[in-house]
Amino acid sequence: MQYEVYKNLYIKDAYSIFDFFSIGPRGIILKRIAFIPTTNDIVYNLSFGDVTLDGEMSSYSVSDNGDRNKILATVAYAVDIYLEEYPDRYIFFTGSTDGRTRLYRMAVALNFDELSFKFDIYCQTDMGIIPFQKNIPTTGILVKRKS
Amino acid sequence: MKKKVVKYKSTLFNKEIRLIIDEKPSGIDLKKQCPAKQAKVNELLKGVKLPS
Repeated sequence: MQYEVYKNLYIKDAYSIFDFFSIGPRGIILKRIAFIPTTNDIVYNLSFGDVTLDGEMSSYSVSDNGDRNKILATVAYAVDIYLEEYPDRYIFFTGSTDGRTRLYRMAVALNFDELSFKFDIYCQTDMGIIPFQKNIPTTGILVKRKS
Repeated sequence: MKKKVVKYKSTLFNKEIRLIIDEKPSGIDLKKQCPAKQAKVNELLKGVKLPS
C-alpha cells in the first residue's frame, strides 16, 4: 500500500502500546494506539486517540491536524506489527461513534484486496461474525493474521 | 533494561519505519485507556462465536 505513515513508533509494554507524534497545522500531538485485553482471552481491542495531559488516551478527540489518512495508515502498520508478534490473537476494532466505525469499514474496504493477502478479516453484523463484505453495516471488525 | 531501536519494513507497506522499543514496564494501566470504549467492546463481544 502506498500510504504515508509516521516513521517513528514508540513501543511499550510488549507491543501493547504504540505512541507516535501527529504533525500538522495544529501542532505536534501525541497519539496512542493500544491493544487492550478484552473479556475474550484471544481478542484484543484496538483503540487509538490522543494522549491527554494526565497520560490517558481519549478516543473521542478530534484533533483535526490534517493527517487523517496518514494516521489510519500508521494504525494499520501497527496492527501488522502487532499480529506479527502475536499471530494467534484477534484484533477487534470499532469506532467511538457510528461515523467512525463507517470510516474504518470504508478504509478496510478500499484496501481489502491487499489486506486480505495477509489477514483474515471479518465484520460483526446482526448475523454474527461473518467474512468481511464491503457494503454491509457493521458494529466492528475482527482481524487475524492468516495462518 | 533499555530502549531498542529496530528498522522495520512491513510487506504490506513499502515504507521503512523505526521502532523504538522500550523494554521496561511503562506503568501505563491499559484498563484506564478509553474505559468507555473498552466497556462497549466487551459488550459487543459478549457471546460472540469466533471464526474457526
